[in-house]
Amino acid sequence: MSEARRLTGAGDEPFTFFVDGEPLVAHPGETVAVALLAAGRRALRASTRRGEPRGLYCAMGVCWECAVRVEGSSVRACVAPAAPGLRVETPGRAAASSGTAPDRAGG
Amino acid sequence: MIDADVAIVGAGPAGLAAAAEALARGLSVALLDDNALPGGQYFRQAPRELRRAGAADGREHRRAEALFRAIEHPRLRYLGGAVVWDAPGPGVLAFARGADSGRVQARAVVVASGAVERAVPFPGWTLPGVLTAGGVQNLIKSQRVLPGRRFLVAGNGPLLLVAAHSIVRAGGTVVEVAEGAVLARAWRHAPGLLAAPDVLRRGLGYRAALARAGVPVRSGQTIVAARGPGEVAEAVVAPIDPAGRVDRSRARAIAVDTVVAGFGLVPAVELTGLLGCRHRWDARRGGWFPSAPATSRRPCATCSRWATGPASAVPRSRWSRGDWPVCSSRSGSARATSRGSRATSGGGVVACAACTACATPSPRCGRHRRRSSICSRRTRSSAGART
Repeated sequence: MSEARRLTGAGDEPFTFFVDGEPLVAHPGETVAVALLAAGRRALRASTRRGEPRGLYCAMGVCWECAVRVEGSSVRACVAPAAPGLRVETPGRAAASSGTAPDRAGG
Repeated sequence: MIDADVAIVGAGPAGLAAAAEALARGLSVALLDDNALPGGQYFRQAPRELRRAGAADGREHRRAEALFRAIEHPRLRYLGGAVVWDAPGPGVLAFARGADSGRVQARAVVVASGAVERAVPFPGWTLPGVLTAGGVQNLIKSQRVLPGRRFLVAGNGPLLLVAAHSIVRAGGTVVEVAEGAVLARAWRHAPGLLAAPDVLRRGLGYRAALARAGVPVRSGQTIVAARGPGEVAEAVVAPIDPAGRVDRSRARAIAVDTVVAGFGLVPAVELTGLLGCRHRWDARRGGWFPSAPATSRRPCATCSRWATGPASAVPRSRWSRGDWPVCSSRSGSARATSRGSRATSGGGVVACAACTACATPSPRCGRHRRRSSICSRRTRSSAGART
């Protein structure tokens, strides 16, 4: 369970979008990754080969570690803005990994 | 097809400065950036909804505002959220933008794609909760979220101090900053630092702020593993012996929920690769670097058209001299300058953080010793160029 938290005050009108069918609250201007992070979800997908949990790494749109699916397309959760009603799917099922995960690039 | 005299890819400090320079010379500009908003990493803007008054410190804010002025110019077309994915011919860039796509045709192309984190793997680096130093900066500064509570900041270079400082200011706990460099050896960079008093002052300011917050900054230490399960629960740090080997017998496990890894920056070379530029591998800096004419007789496949390299501008632009020259024919003096400065580059790592106008990643700053003033002049001249 992550301990991330928002630094802004509750000024903006929050809205709801959906991650794997579950409703999630986001604030205007937030990316999908940030809304998930603030909700305590750091694992954004399972690696294709080993099913290891993967999350934000570069957090600036370079590495694609945080790729999720929106309307059938792969998007980077760290740059994709959350929007009211948006439906996001996290690829694969994140296996509970123990120990280390050596293959960021290949997984 | 969008026509422009100059197409600039990257709307960070370098791209914005290049745009201002081109506009000041009466040229039209198409400015493309992968991000929705201009600013790049250094002057990254929060989405309007997340902005708050006084977020940036005054001086930085003024520098950013001066650069952003170019965006409003009638001869500039800004294409935010545009990913350049092909260069189908000289002066032609194909881009994807959301669900749309398009092309830009220009007489010259400036690549100001900047730098990316140099990713250094270690066991466990793929665990959720391992983030780059630049990424954490981005999350705090422009996304207004603190991605954890207890942090280890590890790696090498000045960005570690900056990230640790941001985390502390945002209310996080930095258990330790593990800096790979051995402090005793860092003194050889002192002459370069003294030539850039502003950088030195800021570096010391971060150190002092971290000291006040009770954050230990340990040099000669590196991260050797992050451990789960599932996400980061612990990090393992070990000292580096004088021979440069990691001494695992003295490894320490530290309970943290987030690891911030920063091992410096390397150029983003996707676009220069696409344009057919030559690159060389720099083992010491750990990345591919586009070759400038100073090091290559045949720098670019389409040399007369393409300008490459961060901060390089329209052909003959005066302030590209001595830096990475544009990939057009350069004068002998520019070559000499470039070669000469390379000879003296010893990796004045901290000095580099100041080179915002040229968006130069830190390892290059050895060349920029003398040039931190040039960089600020760049900023000023580009700001004043539109008057």
